This record gives sequence, C-alpha cells and structure tokens, in this order.
Amino acid sequence: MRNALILLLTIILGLAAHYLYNQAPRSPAASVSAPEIATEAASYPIAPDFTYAPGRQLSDLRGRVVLLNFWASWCGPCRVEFPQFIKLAQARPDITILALSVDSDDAAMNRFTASFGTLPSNIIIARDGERKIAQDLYGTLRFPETILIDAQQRWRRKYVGLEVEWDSATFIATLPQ
Amino acid sequence: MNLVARALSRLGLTVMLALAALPALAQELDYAALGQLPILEDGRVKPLDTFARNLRVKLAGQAQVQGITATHWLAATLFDPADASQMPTFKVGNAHLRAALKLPERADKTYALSELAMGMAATADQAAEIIKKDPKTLSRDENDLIKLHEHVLAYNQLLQGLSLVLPLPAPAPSSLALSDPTYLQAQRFEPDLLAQVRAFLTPELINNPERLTADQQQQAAFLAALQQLRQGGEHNQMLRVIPLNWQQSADWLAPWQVVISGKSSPITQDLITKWQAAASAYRAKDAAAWRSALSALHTATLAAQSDATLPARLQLEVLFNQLHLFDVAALTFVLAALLCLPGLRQGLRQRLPARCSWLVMALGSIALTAALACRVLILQRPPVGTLYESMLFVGLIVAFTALMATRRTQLPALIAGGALLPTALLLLAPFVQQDGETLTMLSAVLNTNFWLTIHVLCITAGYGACLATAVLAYYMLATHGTRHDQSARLPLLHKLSLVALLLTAVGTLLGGVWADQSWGRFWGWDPKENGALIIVLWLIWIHHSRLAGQIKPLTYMAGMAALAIVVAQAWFGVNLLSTGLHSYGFIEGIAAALFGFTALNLLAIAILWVLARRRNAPQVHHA
Repeated sequence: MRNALILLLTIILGLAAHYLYNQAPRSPAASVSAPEIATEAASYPIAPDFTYAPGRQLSDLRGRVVLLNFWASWCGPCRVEFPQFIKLAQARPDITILALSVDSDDAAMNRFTASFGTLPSNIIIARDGERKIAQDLYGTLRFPETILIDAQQRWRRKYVGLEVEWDSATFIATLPQ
Repeated sequence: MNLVARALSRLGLTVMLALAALPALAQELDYAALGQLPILEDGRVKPLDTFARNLRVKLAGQAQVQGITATHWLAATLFDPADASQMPTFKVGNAHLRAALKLPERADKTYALSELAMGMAATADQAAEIIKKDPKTLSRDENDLIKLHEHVLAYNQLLQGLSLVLPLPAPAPSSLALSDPTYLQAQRFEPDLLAQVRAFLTPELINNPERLTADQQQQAAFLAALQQLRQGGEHNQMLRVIPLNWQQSADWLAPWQVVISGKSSPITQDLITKWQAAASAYRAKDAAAWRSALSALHTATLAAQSDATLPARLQLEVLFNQLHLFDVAALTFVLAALLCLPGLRQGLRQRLPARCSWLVMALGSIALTAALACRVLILQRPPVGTLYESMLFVGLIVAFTALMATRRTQLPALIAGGALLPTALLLLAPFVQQDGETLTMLSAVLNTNFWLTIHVLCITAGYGACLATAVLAYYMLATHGTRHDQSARLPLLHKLSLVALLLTAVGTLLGGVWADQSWGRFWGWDPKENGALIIVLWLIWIHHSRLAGQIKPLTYMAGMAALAIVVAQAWFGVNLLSTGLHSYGFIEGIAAALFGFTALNLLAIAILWVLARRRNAPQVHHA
C-alpha cells in the first residue's frame, strides 16, 4: 500500500513538473521557427496537371503565378469579375490568368470574351466543355471558382464566387512574387 | 454396410453442397472494411464502425438487429437507400405510438422506414404542433412521437448522404446519351437542359402536361430529379467523411457539403470518386471490387488528413468495439464473486476458491484496465472526464483496492464485495450517458489534460477508495460478534480509510487550484466542491471520534459503511441541484435511484448495527 502511495505521489509530482515546465515563458522567436514555415509551405498540394488546349498544359506555366479561373457565359458573377481580371492582368504582367470556360460550345464562350474587347496576352482563354478539368479533376460544380497556383505549381488557395476584388491593391499585395 | 454407404453418400452430398456454397461465401461483401473508414462526428474523428453502432443503438436500441450488423446496415443505407428503407431500423417501444402509426405488432418492435412512411406523413402536423409546446409539459406519447420524427429525419439525411454518386432515380433523356448517370455526372448538363426545357415549356403546356412529348416529359422529369437531389443535399452534413487538410483545416465535410460549399479540390474530388467506386461495387455485389475500392478509399482518406496517430487509433477503436472489454470485465467480476460463495459459507478454512476468485478478479481488473487504456489512447486524454467515465474508473479503483487489501488475507467476502461493486458500476454507467456514445469529447472547461490527470483522477480514486472502505466496513459490521468476527481487521479499515482521506483531500485541494486558474477563485461553495469537502469532513470526523474514544469500533464501522452514502451524494446527489459550475455532470432521472440507494444503505447499516449490538450484549441469566 505504501509503495502504491509513493508511486501515486511521484506521478502527481512528475505531472506537476511537466506542467510547470510547459508554462515557462518562451522567446517569441522560438514559437515560429524557419523549419516550421518551410514545412507549412511544403504542405501545399501540387495542382494536378492538365491539357487545356492541344499541346498546351498547366505545367508549361511553371515558374509563373497562375490564377486558374473556371467560368461560364451563363454565369452572372463571372461577367462581374471578368473586367477585374483584365485590370489585374494589366497591373501584374508577371502572372497568368488561365480562364477555362465550361460552356458547351465555342460560340457562347467567344461572344462572352469578345464583349470585353481585346484581352491582355497574359489572359489565356480555353474551353472545358465536358468539365473534365473543372469538375472531374478539380471538383468545381459552381461557378465562378478561382485557384491561386504559385510558381512551383502548388495549390495555394481557392476563391469561391466573388470572394475578392481581383484588381484591388489588397489582393494584388497577397499574390506571391 | 448399407448404413455406411448411406452415411457416406450423405457426407458426400454435404461436402458437395459446402463446396458449391464456397464461391457464394467468397462473394460475401466484407462490411467490416467499411467500418475502418474515418468520419468526423461530435468533434471527434472515429471509425464508421463506431458511428454505425452508435446510430444503430440510438435508432433501434441495439447494434445488431435481426442478424444484420451495424456496418452492413450502414453500407445499405449509404449505397442502396431503396434496399435500406426495407431493413428493420427504428424501434417503436411505445404501444400507443405503434397503434397511432398503424404498425403491425412484432416481438422486437423494430420497423423499416418503408413501414413508418405513411404514419410519419400522417402525424407530421401533429409533431409540428407538439414541438411548439413547452418540453416540460409533454406527455410520454408526445415525447416519443417527436423523438421518432427526429430519428426518421436524421436517417433520411444519412440515406441521401451519398446520393450525388448514386444512380439517379429518373432515366436520363436520350439526348444526353448517359446510362445510369449520377448527379455528379448529370448536373454538368443542367444549364443546357434547363435552356431546352424553358424553350418548350410554355405556360400552356405547364397547365396541360399531357401534351408534352415523351422526350419532353423525360427531360422535364430528369431536370426536376436533379434539382430535387441538390435541394436534399444542401443541408446534408451528417456524413462528414472528407478531410479538408488541403485547406490547412482540421475540419471534415460531408460529400454534399464539399460540392455545394465550393470546398472541393483535386483531393476531395478523388475521394468522392472513390466513394462512387465503393457504391458501384456494393450495388454490383462484387466482393473483389468492394475490397479494392474500400482499400483505396481508406488509404486516400488517411493520406488526405494530417493526424499521424489517426490510422492506429482507428484500428484500435474498431478492435475495442469488437472486444467488448467492459462486458468481459463485468462477467469476470461476477465469476470471481460466484467463486467466493463456498468461502463465504466456510470462512477462512476454504482457501482454494478464495485464491481462484482472487485470480479471476485480477483478470477482470486487467480487462477493465485494458478497456480504460484503450479509451485513453483513442481519445488522447486522461480516462476520466465525464460522469460515465468516473463510474468506470471508480470501479477499477474499487477492484484494485480490494485486490491489494486481500492479496495476503484473501477474504472471500471482501473479494465478492470488491467484485460486485465494480460490476454494478459497469452495468449502471451506460445509463448516465446520453445517446449511446461513450467516447465523447469534453466541454472546454474540462479540456486540460494536466488537471484532468491530477485533480480528476485523484478525486475519483478517492471515491473508489471510499467505496472499498465501505465494503470492508459492511463486512466487518455483518460479522461482528459472530464466529467469523473480523474485528482484528480494524487496522486494515483504518489504512483504507486514510488512503481514501488522503486522495479526496488532495483531490479537493487540487480542484481548488484548478478552479483558481480557470475561474479565478479557489473556493466558490459550488455543490460539487461542497460534496468533496463533505467526504473529507466525514472521514476526519469519524477518525477523530475514534481517536478521542467518542465512538466504539461498532459505530466506527457503521460510520465507515455510511461512507457509501456520503460518496453517492457527493458524486451524483449534487447533480440533482442543477446548479454550479460543474455543469458537465448533470443528469436527469436519478433522484429515485439515489433515494433508494440511500434508504437501503441506511436500513442495512441500522439492521446490521442492531444485530451486532444484540450479539455483543452481555448475557443475563435468570435463576
């Protein structure tokens, strides 16, 4: 019985010591170390590659920040955000906006883009009529959706609907270089 | 010879039949594999095995109904809702409700959704009216009706949990060239289909649908089916099997939530596709495809989440569910108590059964320890955080204390008492737990592993030591003055009660320190705090009275036996007050049980005390 009590008290003291140790103040620098940041960055998944036009793949754009946008001509919010994309592309020529339409025919897609005049060269328009990229690969069912892909082709963030103003200074500041 | 030939012929036939059945057996789907998959429910990621068992117990009162295991039932529910709606799922114990719903009488009172459908529709308005009333004023029949409606609603949600990857209920229009399409396959054609239907569906045709062509009718019906499915899926959040780690989030979502909220990604899309493969394999009853689909789904789901310990914990939990260690421990304790019976009659002369019972009780304690250890590993927190868990832990402490106290003396009665008390606690514990789920997450106030370990374990160990003390005191009281008098064991009673005093006193003080850190005060005269203090004061009072010579050994024993009442009041009684900061311990409906326990103990102590005094009274001989 005595041994059991000694054991119990030892456990209690040990736990108390562990708690007090953990309560001790740490230097702020130790809380977010460089390796931890590196691990977080490494945890971003790679955006799956796909062919969006004959002979043209997402991986061809590696080295550039890409905004992969899924849209449709019948989608109201897509019409709202498209002018913002144009301004963003003009403000940041170092990024690429890959706008994939899920329209079932080219005519509807072309009518939509033509209504915005001549597009900057860093906006790429392509059609994914059967939604093999938008839905089967990226799981997008509602439009518009935009995925921010960094220069290492890592999936950094997804934007659903009109979540941000693409040409705003706030958004442009968050874009990776 | 004829007989032998006939026997051989029968044997041959049996072997042939068995061989013929082999391929069929091999084709049987391994439903247990589904149980290994993880799901987030009530803030905890658990295996579907646990989810299915708990839901089955909640709806049908038991995990296995009419030979259908919980995972088999869940597989049918998710992958073949039409078949599942014919399976026995809801227990309707209330005879008035069965009559109101026009249900046929049967022994197990368990009914399929298809049997309830008409009754549910007929009582929907009644249920809506009852919900508006004050819950305290509801009759038992009204409560049962509301509960059944809630269960049916929850089950309906589960039935539609994977409807986005199951074949659509309406045939696809021939223009789409899709055979057996799912919602996910078909919805991509919805904008075009909507445009087509809008083009032909003039107001005139809406009023005269018979004038639509067969193709037009099919298009309209298909579009309606798509929209209906999406509406059903919009609030479907029950089947949270998709981890969102790709978003640096620890959250898990249901498939419908993923696609509707826009939280989909290549990772979630891959998982949903794998769920579809599992559904196809189930519906085709293809055992090999089923095994392969579930294996791929298991691997992909675990790879998509970030908790490195989850795979091992899931496996352990499935094993824990299968082993029923608490039942094993309870049965072993009962066996230990039964083995003590010859010892009880023949006293200390009968050593062998006592020795055997001690060993059996040790085995029961090992099973109970293993069960609690499993819970610690699964929940990743100390073993005691709820009233239910405190009952299990106190049971273990009582068993261990009895084992320690009897390891040399092997008192059969103490072993029996020390075995039966944990059995009672193990059997009663599930009644204080809501909804059948026992592996629960803790409320924020309790979620501090350090204090849970040192304060709660200390105080509950104190409760256990108090109860073991009470068992010994009862035994000594019962045998006082008889030929089995155990008065010589008073030092053992002192030691046990001092251990109980030490643990409850230290536990109470530690609770004060925790309260100071969490609530900003050491002592607040909270009912739970007062209860713990009363145990300490009771023990101090009895000990001091004994030391001061104020009470005789018999009264001392009675006082220690009454410790069971004091502990019960401190442990459960304060919950009846429904006040104070220890709100995690409130349970309803224990007043009668607690009153009965207290009255029985008071009566037993009084009777034993009177009998012992009579036995000890000096004999007066008249001339």
